Amino acid sequence: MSGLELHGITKLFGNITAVSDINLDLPEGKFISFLGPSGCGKTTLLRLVAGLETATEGHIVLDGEDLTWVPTHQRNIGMVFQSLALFPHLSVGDNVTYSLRIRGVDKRTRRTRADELLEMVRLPGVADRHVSQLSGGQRQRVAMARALALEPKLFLLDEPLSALDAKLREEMQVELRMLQERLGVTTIIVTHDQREAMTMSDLVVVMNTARVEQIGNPHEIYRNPATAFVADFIGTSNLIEAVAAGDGEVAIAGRGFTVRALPDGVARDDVVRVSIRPEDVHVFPAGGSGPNRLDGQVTFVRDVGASVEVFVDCDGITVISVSSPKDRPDVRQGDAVAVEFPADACVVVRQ
Amino acid sequence: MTAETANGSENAEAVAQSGLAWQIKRHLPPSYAGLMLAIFFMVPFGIMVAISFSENIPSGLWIYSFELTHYARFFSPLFTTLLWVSIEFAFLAAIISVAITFPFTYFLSRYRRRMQVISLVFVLCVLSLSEVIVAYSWSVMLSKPAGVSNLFVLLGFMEKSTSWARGYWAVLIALTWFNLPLAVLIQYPNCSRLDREITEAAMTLGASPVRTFFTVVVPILQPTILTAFIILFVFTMGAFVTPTWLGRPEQWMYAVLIGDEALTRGNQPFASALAMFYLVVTTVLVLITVRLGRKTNRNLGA
Repeated sequence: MSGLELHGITKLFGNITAVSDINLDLPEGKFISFLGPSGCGKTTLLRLVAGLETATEGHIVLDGEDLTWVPTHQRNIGMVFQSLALFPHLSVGDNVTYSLRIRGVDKRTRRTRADELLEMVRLPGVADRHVSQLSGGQRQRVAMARALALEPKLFLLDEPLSALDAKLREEMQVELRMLQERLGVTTIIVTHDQREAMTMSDLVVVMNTARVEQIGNPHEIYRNPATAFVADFIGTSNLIEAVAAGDGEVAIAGRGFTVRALPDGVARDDVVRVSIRPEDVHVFPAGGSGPNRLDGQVTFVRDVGASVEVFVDCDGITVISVSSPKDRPDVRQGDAVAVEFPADACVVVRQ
Repeated sequence: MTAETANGSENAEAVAQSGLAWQIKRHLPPSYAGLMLAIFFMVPFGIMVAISFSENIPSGLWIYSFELTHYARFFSPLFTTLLWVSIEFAFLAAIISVAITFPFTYFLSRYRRRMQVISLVFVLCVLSLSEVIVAYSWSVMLSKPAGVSNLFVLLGFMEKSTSWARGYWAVLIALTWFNLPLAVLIQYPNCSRLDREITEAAMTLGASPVRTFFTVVVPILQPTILTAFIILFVFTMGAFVTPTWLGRPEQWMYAVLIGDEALTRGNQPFASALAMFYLVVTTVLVLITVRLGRKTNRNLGA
């Protein structure tokens, strides 16, 4: 079995549970994100994979080899740290080839390899410079080149882009993804930025309070959230309280709605939530009737140019609708309207 | 209109005044440093320079004049030998104590916060011991009736207990020991500031903890190590009680010699001249060390 397997990983710090009974099967060569809010245990999980922490319980297996008790320096991994952790006493070239120096590679080979690696991260000709002479984005690339110098089995990144400004960050996301595709190295990135995770990943592991909430590709996670937390954390979602009424049917505010299939373990009369993305909500002027509709009043219209958000109050339930300027509904603040939830966009999640 | 003009000129005056006040405020703090330097350092130093060129009157007095007789006396073998002894002791005591304390301090700074605080309080307690207590304790520890030689006899390493309380090794041990707590406290702040991710990065790149220590920790903290060495060197150059109590006359460092001239022999001008000379030698040695440190730093960077 190739790839990374985590079996029942638990990590306690004193009496605080950082990571609780995590089981993951991560395929080789994929780009994986650990996504979650701060304090959810995602960084601890990455550090466990790197061997910088030891698991209280459980096993870590890479390509069939049990890594649980292998010390960090024998794991053949490359890691980019949040602070980047470049060596301030070494030149850029010596930083990049530090791992080769540790393996006893001679100076000339190191020099050639440094140029190759810097070329790979599109930062040629800086080998002789000092780290302090580089910009934030350039240091980022140096840290990546250094981590990849020995062609590791695992490439780990701990919120590496968080220090960059928004525009540079988005550029780096695309570049990092392209680099990973070119090298085919199994990559795990820790991030709290869902946009970042969606941009780069084959597989997103959404975490909350030391546990995994959902694993799936970005599209699945977005279109088919498994829990209310995922629906709320990934993008924005209208989470509306409902009562399960039968297969593919719920009651919202006493009215029957047709929705997607109920998740396993939800029985009739259970209180659930319906998650619907704002871009799926349609707003009509009041009057007329149809299925899956609620009546309400517009409380606010936000026109931010690229999109228009309409806030509708339906008897205490706030529903947000987003549309492009082209499809802008002809409504104003105070208008009586009806909102419609298309059945195939209504995902039922547990309370 | 007139009222306004009057107001305007008042304002201008206020601005001028506040400008002056601002000038004073701006220049006062730096001049305070200068003033302190003058009162506590330059003036006494000037007096000492003047005395070192004065004519000696036995019994501890002098007449201000200009003669080089005191400076000429340095070139007797006694003074040159003891200068080398002083430098040797200061150099060895500084280097050994830094070598012992650097790994200790670095690994201490990786411990839990609570453990660090407890250890540092303990170190501070040791630092509060005066040189007198340290020298006296070592003279007991190395003595014949109560010293460590009795332990070696007990363990069967030696036949009879013996006294090591006076001589080269006694002085060196006590000087080194006396430096240890200070060495820890000098190095601690920079050690604790070293980002943990730096050493973790080295380990992910395949360096064992020992390789990480020598290829990353030591080079990065090399300036800290050098600073500690220089401070301890200068500090040990002024040792007085330890060589007096634990040394024979061959181990009398310069401070003892100066004290002997000034207090016992009552030759103030010669004592001043010795002090001047000693100051110059120490300063030159420190400057050489700093220069060497800069050079190795540059080499590390390349």
